[in-house]
Amino acid sequence: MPVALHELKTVYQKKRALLITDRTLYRNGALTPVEKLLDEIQIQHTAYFAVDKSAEMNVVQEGVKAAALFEPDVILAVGGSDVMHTAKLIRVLYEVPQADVAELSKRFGDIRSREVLFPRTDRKASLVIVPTASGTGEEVTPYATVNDGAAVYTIADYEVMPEFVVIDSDYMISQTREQIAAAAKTALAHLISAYESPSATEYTDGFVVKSMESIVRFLPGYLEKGADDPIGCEKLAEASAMSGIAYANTEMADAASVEALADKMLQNACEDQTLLLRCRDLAYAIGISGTDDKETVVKLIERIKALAALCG
Amino acid sequence: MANTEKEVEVQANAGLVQDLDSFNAMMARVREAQKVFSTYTQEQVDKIFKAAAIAANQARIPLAKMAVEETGMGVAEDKVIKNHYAAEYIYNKYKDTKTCGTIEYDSAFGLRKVAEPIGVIGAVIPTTNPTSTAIFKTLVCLKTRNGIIISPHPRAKKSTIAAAKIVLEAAIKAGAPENIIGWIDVPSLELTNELMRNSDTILATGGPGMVKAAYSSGKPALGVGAGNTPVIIDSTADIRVAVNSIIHSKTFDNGMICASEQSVTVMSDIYDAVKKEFADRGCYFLQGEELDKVRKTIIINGALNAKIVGQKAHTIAALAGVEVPESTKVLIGEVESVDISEEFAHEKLSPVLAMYKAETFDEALAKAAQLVADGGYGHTSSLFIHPAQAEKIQKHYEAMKTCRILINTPSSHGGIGDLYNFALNPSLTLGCGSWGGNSVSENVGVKHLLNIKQVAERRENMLWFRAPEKVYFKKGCMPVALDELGTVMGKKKAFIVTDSFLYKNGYVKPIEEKLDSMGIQHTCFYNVQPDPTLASALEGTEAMKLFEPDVIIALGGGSAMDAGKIMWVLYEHPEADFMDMAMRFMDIRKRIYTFPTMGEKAYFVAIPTSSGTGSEVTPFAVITDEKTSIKYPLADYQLLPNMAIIDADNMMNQPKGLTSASGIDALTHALEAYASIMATEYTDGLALQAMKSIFAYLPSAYENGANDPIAREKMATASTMAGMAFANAFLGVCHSMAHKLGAYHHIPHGIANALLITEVMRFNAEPVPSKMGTFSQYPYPHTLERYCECAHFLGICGKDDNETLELFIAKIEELKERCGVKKTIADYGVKEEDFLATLDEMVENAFDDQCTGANPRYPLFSEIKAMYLKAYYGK
Repeated sequence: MPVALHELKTVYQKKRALLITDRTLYRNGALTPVEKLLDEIQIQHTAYFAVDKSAEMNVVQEGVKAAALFEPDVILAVGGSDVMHTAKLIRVLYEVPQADVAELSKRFGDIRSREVLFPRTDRKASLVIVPTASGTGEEVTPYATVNDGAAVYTIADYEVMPEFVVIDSDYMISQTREQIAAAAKTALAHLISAYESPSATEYTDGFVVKSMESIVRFLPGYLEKGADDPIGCEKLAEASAMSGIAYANTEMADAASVEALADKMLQNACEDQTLLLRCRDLAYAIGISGTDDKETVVKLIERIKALAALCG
Repeated sequence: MANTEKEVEVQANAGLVQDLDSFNAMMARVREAQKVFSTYTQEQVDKIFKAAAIAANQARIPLAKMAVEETGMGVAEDKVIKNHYAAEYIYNKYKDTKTCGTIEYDSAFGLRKVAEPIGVIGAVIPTTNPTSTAIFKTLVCLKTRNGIIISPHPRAKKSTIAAAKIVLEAAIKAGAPENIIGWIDVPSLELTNELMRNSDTILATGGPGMVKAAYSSGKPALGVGAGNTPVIIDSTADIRVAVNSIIHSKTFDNGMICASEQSVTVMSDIYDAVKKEFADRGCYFLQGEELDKVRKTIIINGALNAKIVGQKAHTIAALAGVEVPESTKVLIGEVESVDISEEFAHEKLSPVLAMYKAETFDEALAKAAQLVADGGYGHTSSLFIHPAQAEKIQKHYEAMKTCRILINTPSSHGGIGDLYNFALNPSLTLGCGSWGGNSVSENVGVKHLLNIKQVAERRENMLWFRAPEKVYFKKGCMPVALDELGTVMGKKKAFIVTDSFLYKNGYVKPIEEKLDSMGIQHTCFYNVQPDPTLASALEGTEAMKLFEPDVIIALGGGSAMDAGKIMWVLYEHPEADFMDMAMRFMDIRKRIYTFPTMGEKAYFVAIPTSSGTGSEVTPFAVITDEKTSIKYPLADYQLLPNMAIIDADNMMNQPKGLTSASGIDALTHALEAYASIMATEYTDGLALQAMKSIFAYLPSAYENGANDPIAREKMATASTMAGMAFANAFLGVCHSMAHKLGAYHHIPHGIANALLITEVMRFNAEPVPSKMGTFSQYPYPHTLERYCECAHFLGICGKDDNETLELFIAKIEELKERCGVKKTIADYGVKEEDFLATLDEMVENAFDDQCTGANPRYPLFSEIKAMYLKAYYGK
């Protein structure tokens, strides 16, 4: 983290940073090392830490006000997915105050031929994300979801992507077993969706293969040992970022359990020879093989479901 | 209680320390005590430190009186302040300082600092501050778990030992080991020298002689020397503040503080006003003969007269036979010379002051500098001035070779810190830096009495994954992707860079049509050669400067894209120097040269027409200076295109030779990126997927060309993915060697890689290399396993790793053969004598190539040579 953030000064010549995090992290001093570093490199900073358990529109709006007052040239989010979602939206609305979130969140068939053109601006502030949980991969996706009363808006546009992302597993080492399990399940769901997606490409496949391999190899040990397994922690952090990259470059899938997604993939693979072969390659990469392609894929699905079961 | 009192008597019972035997016995006792003390916790130490400070503080008045009585010098009331300061201020400063065990831990960088005591400190205490310096030194030693042995001044031994005893008693009561503080009862030169020879560090305070002795004893010493503090009063100064500060400081303890003012240089325009203020405030200006009388009294045979040290002005005047009022504060001599031959220019340790007149500020500085050089190198200097005169203040601090420079401050009080300023460390031992022959230039404190161990844990370098912001791909995607230039970005002028073959054959046409349809003006520069030259890049840049594009579109193979990148740099930063940009670096993040920021004038789009170089997604560009034939490889993420468009339609009609050479080039990119010491999971996935596609589709792309559009597209994707992998993981020695083979013998780059890659793989796979690559993330030689991972992913499996590698290599050889690659360098028509004549130069240049650094095995010259020879002869 410290090495990467130094670039804010040396490369980007930033002057004012708005830090965004949630209450718990702020109270527990998660920002202290970041603040210390910003002081050292003489970047002014202020913290907005009103994010609570979910990303809420009113919290976003307050944050936009804070940003308008402080006029940051970099927005630095430290936290889990709610913080990341909030920060992404604060940045959009800070730059384009007139943007209508409900309008922007309209469903589209193709991200490149949507009718509501996302506003492009000269960047007022860069977005930098330091995730504190492994799993969602939100740090590398173009998605942001926010609740506004009963309504839920999801924005999907590459404009909301951060400029750079710092994945430092030092920030994740104190995750609880539940958090690890939830993170792993999210990552697995992303991986299956991304691999099976009709928009999957060789680029995203490469990330899926490597990410899946890491999860299979390191998750069981990490679940068991938690903070005593810093290598597992780092591997899961990387795997989740890679799953995020894959997921970010395919299309959003509907949320479903890992088991359901895995079953669906198996079912589809039985009907679709190309998918069957791709699933077989994925299995090979992880070191799973059977007597024929079908059996190999069945074993792969079993393995993924076993992992999901391990996560409870 | 009774017990403790008995313990304090130990030294008394053991007899006085007055000769070598009794000294050695005492030394042994203190050493023993220190061993025990070194195991104390911070909590125990802090308790002792506090108790000792309180005891010393409580005894401040009796100790002050005793010191004046014994030495006949100084002012008791002022000595009370010094004792009080030595106890209270030192305690306050260091009460929360960590001095035991881990004092700092940085978990992010894995650095732990552990404080350990030095051992037994030899402390020499001067007669000028016999009690306060003793309190100061014993307290800082207790805080740092050191033992201390004091050598008092013969004329102040009673009061120094009394101070040490008070501190020791209180320390033992609070739990310190008995004998942790020792002293010489009957000081002599012999015993002082013995102490210096036997202690672990010497904390010497005293005149130049003592400090010199300490430094020549062969033990580390923290010594301080004489001061000769010169003061300058600038025309802008507040005269009342200046004069009264100087009087206050100069009379403090009768001028015995080493930082005390010795001379005042006053600007001529305020000279009379300053003089009047001094006189009005009770100072006496020596007249006529009086001046000479005092001269002869203060310095005798070039040395300071001990009789005047710490005496009142009236007493010194009487000694000189000059009559002044009893209440006179300071004797002032108005003199002209700053030379050592002028008695008033010396350090006087008494309320006697020299006064000079200066016409200009520079003259005043010159005088002060001379006074420092002659008698007070490294100690202290002082300036009275209006605080807004930043320029003069800077001139002053630049001219003074002193370690403390005080502004508008009484220097006796200012130099010791925490009284008239609050960031100088409080201390009674003031370092004078190398100018004063010292090892310390700041005020001595607890940190100088500790050995700090630094425990550095292994950490891994930060790595990254960077790719162009937008990578668009799919056969036929180019017009869709280019659409963004108009609709989203609102670009106005596009500058196309390509080569003449592509231009003549209509490859630029679809781009031009698309630009026309969006109303984007455009022009095309198509004079790019294979191996682009600096001359053609400069030519293109000139055209760019005229056209002022806001988007640059580079269309072509590696040459056109590289030329485009170079023109982009020169267009945005005409001032940039190629030599600087091309300088080799060990770590792209620590390079000396900071690459200029790109993209301020133009957006950069790269559109490849061959599948191989990956230049559309890499931060690299190579350019040749046609005059010297030197190749400049540039590498910086600033050179990463903003958008890459990989449209297989642009690649359909690649000739066979290009298909095979660039296909194998892409394969070596993937293989070297996978084996690189900087490989990451992010790049691994890309590299593996690229290899798989190349093995599956290169043969058909080679044989069927445009007739197998799927193979073409798969190769396009594979080459870009391999590019992304090596843009982040970098390459290895195969590319280093191939670069030179190309430069010296004009073998096409892809073919050169093809000829070398399998040799290099065997070389890298060696589990016992002569030298492995240096990178924190590369823990042990494991390249064989890495190659086997690739092989497994391709479905190649032997009975063990060695067999897998051989099968993998055989598969690569088979692929090469199917794509028409010949076996050896010789087969490509390189004459043996030419090859051998250039071999040693190629070896050295390949070794020094930027790519070598990421290779998992650090190659020796001889090893590179052997690989070249094998690749030449094929055996």
